Amino acid sequence: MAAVGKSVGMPLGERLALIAVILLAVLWLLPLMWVTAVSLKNNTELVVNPGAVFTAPYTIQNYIDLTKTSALGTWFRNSLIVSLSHTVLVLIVSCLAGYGFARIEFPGRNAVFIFSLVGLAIPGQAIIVPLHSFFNAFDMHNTYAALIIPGIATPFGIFLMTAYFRAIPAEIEEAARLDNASRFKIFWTIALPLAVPAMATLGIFTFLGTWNDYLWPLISATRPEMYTLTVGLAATQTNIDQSEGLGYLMAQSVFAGLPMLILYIFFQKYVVRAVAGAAIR
Amino acid sequence: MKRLKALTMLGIVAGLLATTGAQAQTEVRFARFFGACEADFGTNLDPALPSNECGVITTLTNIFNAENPDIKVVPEIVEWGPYYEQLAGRIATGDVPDISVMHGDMLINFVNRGLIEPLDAALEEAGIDVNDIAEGPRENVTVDGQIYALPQDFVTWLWHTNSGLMAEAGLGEVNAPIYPTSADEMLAQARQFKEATGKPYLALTLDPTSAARTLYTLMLQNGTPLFPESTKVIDLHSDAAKAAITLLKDMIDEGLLVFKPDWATAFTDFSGGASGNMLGGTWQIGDLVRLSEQTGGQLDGYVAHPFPTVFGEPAVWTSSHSWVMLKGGAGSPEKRAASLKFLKFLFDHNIHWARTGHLPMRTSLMTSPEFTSMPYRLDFASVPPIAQHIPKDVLQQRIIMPFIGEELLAIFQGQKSMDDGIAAAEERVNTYLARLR
Amino acid sequence: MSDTPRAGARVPKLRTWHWPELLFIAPFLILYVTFLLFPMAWGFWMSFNYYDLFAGFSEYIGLENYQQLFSDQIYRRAVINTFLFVAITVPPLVVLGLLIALVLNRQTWWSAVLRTLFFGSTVLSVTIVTLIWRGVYLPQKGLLDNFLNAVGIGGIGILQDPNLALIGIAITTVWWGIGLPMVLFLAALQQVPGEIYEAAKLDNASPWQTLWSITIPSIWRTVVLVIIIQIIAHFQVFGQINLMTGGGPNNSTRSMVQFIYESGFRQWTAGFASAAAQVLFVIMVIAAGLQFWASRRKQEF
Repeated sequence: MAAVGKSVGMPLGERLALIAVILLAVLWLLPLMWVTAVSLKNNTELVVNPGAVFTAPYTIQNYIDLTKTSALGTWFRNSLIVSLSHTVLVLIVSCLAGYGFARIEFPGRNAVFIFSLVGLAIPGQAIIVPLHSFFNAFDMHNTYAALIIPGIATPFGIFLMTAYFRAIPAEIEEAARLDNASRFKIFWTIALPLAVPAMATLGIFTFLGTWNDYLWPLISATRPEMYTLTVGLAATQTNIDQSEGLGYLMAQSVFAGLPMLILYIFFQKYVVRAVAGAAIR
Repeated sequence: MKRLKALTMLGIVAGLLATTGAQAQTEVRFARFFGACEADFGTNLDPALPSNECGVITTLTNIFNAENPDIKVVPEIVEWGPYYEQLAGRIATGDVPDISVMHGDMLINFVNRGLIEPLDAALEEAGIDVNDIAEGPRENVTVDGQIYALPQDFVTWLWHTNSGLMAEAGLGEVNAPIYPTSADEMLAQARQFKEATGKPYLALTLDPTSAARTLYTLMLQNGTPLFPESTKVIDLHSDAAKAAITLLKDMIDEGLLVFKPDWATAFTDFSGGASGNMLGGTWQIGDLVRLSEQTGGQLDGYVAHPFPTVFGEPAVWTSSHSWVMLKGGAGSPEKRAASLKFLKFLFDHNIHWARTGHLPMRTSLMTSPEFTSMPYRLDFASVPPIAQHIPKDVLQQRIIMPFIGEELLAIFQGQKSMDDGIAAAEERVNTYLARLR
Repeated sequence: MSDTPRAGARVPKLRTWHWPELLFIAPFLILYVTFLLFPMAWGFWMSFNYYDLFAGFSEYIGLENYQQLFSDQIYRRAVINTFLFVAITVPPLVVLGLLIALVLNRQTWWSAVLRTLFFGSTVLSVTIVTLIWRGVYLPQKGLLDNFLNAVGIGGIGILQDPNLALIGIAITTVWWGIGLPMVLFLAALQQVPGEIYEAAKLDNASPWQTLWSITIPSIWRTVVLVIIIQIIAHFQVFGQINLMTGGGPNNSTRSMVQFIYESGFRQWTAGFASAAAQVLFVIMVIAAGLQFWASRRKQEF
């Protein structure tokens, strides 16, 4: 940590890099600030005067209007249910299989493992058409199951967990194995607790990925009450081309984005440490 | 209007009274686009208040629900873009709405797949006088002699005019602008306008479909259809098509016609008096009026006028919104009855839809004072006889119109030569249509 | 990635395996075959059919979909656009991600704040990001045009210009996605033992030399990993494009996945869409293979 110099007496190159990053940070922040400002403006004023956003008066009317429409809450709940369930299932499946591939020496293990990793090359987007037909055949669109199930068996998860379990010295398990403890017990009481950092990584990646998924929910959830936040917000975006409601739209994006940001700020240490602990293996 | 308001209020009071003793409500699931505007009109019951599609349909739904405490129409609002993918998906999964909005031009794609119920018997049952539906919209939803949808309107392509600016340039009086009757006259007027005001005569939004509608209208006026031989093969290299494209391109090159990057800009600029006319659709009238009021009246003497006839025959592109009952929806007799009641209600209140700017589809309303007294509309009565739908048998018009428009815009903006653009548009449309079974 | 676990190496063989233990991998294998391999195979079959998703109608037509696909101008354009998009998105993500990580790899309060900021945009969903950026890019009313007007350049309507639209989407994507490369690089930097730097310092190495001869080689595996992840991710770009431009103007932003979505779900030609999906699959396999090969080779220095 802090290996590259101290903040006082920095060499020129580093100073320039620092300035560049601070400038970048300003660029990163600007859209967010602008959006917040727009969300606090009267919609009509925005139409009449494009520069109105930079001057008072500001109003919270758009946020008051937001509370009148209940759909945002439903979509938010759907996103939460789908993302959490999907993440938990991915963790269960990946940990079990990762441990299995790492520790159980069944014949043909190598072949099966490679067979499992082949899926890494299948882009999720390439199978949406058949996947849609598949869920169609079982009348399962517009259900949580349809939103949750695809992608539970993720080759990336297998890859990550297998690598992690393999890196845990087998000696740790030896004592328990000599005691004739069952594999599952060893997995549950010894291996799994050690794998928490990797699980955190996989969990966070999966959660973010599911939370942000757009294509699958777009074609699977066709009823507004089954929309996830991404699809629901997309539905309201059509209006952006009309003059109207720019402030309202931006209030929506602030409102919908804030919980994730807050959640992230609370857990960010964990997020970063998790990624640091396992992704670079 | 006052009387109507009073009646409505009465209905609501009655509705409220009835609610207290209400039995289980029959739910009518109403799939539509037009956007969501609960924030502005979620509880509104005054049909005179809204002036756009979303406001009017939301308000009408509110009124119906208030007047019919035993029925609850539940709007299921879907994004405009993927509306039909989602609707088709719902049908495939058996989750069928009871009533759905559908553009007339999309109907054939659903009828061909046997997904829509013919409505003849149902309309009669509901007490809807089919003969009052204007010829064009009715024909557009009639397949093999059966009516498959209840049309809601004429949607047409027109000119939004700043008659104040036009008068300044000697082109008529405020609220009574003069329009060209030939291509040469249009060019002459446009030059005169530019000379006098320094502003462009026409503005068009960089929106592919808009460009395609404009071309289609001009070709119709030249007596040339888009699909002369078969509904699978488009012809854009006819003299009529080239004449129309050349006319527009010339105007663009002379700065008489300018593009606006999006509708928001087009609206703001036009209501700020940036051009004499703006090409647009009927659905924008209500919004433009409100916008011009908000911007403090730089849009002096706003009027909307049917697309001027610059090539011989009066004609204009049209399309219609319509209501369909998809197979598998409205399953129970109660639901069916409730759905039909809602259709009848929409039919009876067709006049309110005209507030958005669309033309009512009921012939009887065209001459009623309620419609003719609506402000800003010039000569709208002339529209129904000249309004022409794209032949209803042409599949997937929603897909091919942007194909045409994208290539047109590339021509207009100098990214492609006219011949290249035309060839590209024809290839895209024809290969796509050929691909469809 | 040489650390692909080679099963069977140096695990003490205390006892043989038992059948019930296969339950560890059974759930994965079942789901994997059902929801990944089977749809993949089905999609492959679909690509030889005329398939109407909504009428449930299908007819075998051999290679016709592929013939149509390869002669389709719009598809060719979509392939080019996708490569272009990857080419203009991945380098800034990697370079800026690394720059930010290098600068913020210290334990001060302000670097923590900046790290939060850069990763913060990544947790937003694509619809929120596009809402924000469509607002920013809005002709005349948006932040960008406001700024350009203020400095006298005048508005450009970036998403309406066929020469700029893809760049506009790329900027949005970099803004959205910088968090992941940054965090991955930070993690890698923290694994580099401090002693190496101490030694470099004693040798009077300049920071520039230190960067190139110590830091970069030490985290080279991560650099390659980040590049792979980013290439694979951005080859599949869809949401931003569908929401910001819908593929226009003048086909300048339509991506391969957008093409699949449009032909399958909007234009109702699912067989044709499946053919396009197979091509995407092949390109992804090749890309992954090339990257894999590159990462193995480079690692040896």
